[in-house]
Formats: sequence, structure tokens, C-alpha cells
Amino acid sequence: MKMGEHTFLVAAKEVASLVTARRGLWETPNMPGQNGSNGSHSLGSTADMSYAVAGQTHADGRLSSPLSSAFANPTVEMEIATTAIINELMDALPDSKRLTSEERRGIIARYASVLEGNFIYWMTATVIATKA
Amino acid sequence: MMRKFALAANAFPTDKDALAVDNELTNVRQFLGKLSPVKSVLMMAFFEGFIQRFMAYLACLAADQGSTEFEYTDVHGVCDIEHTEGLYKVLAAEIALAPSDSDEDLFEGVTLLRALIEQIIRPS
Repeated sequence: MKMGEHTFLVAAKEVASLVTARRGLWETPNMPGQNGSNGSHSLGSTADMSYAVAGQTHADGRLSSPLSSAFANPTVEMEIATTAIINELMDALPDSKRLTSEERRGIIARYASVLEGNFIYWMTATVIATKA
Repeated sequence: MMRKFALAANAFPTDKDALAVDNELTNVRQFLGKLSPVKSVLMMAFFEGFIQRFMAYLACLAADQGSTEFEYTDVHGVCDIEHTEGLYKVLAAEIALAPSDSDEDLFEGVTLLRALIEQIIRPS
């Protein structure tokens, strides 16, 4: 199975679960697409690449999947795209057993370096930025 | 918890580790400084979602380093599920409050954070 096919199958399963889990969010009033705007957003090059494998798209960006109604909500659309990016990152992780001790140490150390000094600052900045 | 985790794996960060991710980290910090609500919440939702999945791999790395300290990875693998859910709810609320321009790249922060994660895994 090609990687794209695998990603598609995983994404399809995620769509199905999100359709159930997010049904309430679709009814959120004043969502883009329900108040006059078209609800479309540029997902950026990285997201576009991941988003493309989550279903077949028409030239105008509509999805041909029977689950295409799930994408009418931009939040669901974004969650699917971010999940696809996470899947790509996870699939690309090197096998721990094949790494040297120094390589394993480096990944943990760089991760800890970023998280310890920044995570709370990032969350605080996000809270300050929000309006809801 | 994280400091205990890193120490137990003999992986406490050095200046070299910090400098290896400095450019990508600076990009993320500068992005968050713009205080863009939708983009920031989306980036953090992506990050929580990633961390939730990444914990098992991080624990595997630590185990292969000979560590038996897994409180950090055990706790975050579970609680980040709820954090991710909460962030997507906030994202929906923020989008409802301030719909974005159609040509705006809402994934700007996600793209920058992805680059940082890739630099953590495979420093150039």
C-alpha cells in the first residue's frame, strides 16, 4: 500500500469519528459559511498537501467524498488537516532501536529544551490573543 | 516532571541542544507575538495533538536510554487528549467571533511549529 493510500484510509476513519464527535459544533451559530462568508480558508502549503490526501478534491476545492458535509465546518476541516500533518510527522519518526544513544539523547534533550522554556509562555500568549 | 524525565534519560539539555533549534524556535516565538487568535489556537491544538501521539515514542527513546522514569510521558499521553479537545472548541468559538479572510494562511503557526518539531527530530 502506498503511503498516500494509507494516509487516505487513516484520514477517512478520522473523518468518520469526527463526524460523530463534532456534530454539535456544526450547529454553532454564526460560523463562516453560515453568515454570508464562504467559509473557505487558505490552509497553507503544508496543510494543503496533507489536506489533499484526506479526500478527492474538485477544482473549486469541494470534496467528492460522501463525507464531504463534514468539511463544511472550518473547524472540522482544520482538525482533519492538522491530524494528517501529525500522522506525517509520526510516520517519519526514526526507529528508536536504530538510533545511537547520542541520537536518542539529542531528541529528548532538544524536545525538553523547547518545552521547558516555552510551553507555558506559548499557552499564555495564546490565552492573551483569544477573544472568546 | 519533564526535568525528571530528561535527567533520568541522561538527556538534560545543553547549550548545544538549545542552539540546534534556535532559529525555528525564534520563528515560533515571533509568530505567537503577533497575538493572532485563530492561528495561535490552531497551532496549540496541533501541538497538543502532536504531543499526545509523541509521548509513546518519547517514552520508547527514554526506555532505550535505560530510563525507568515515565511519569511525564504517562501523564501527558492521557491529559493531552482533553487539552486537544478543549483547544478545538476554543478554535470554533474564535472563528465564529472573527471569520478570517479567505486568502489568509491560518496554518502559519502550524507550519512554523512543524519545522521546529522536525528540527528537534532531525537537526540540520
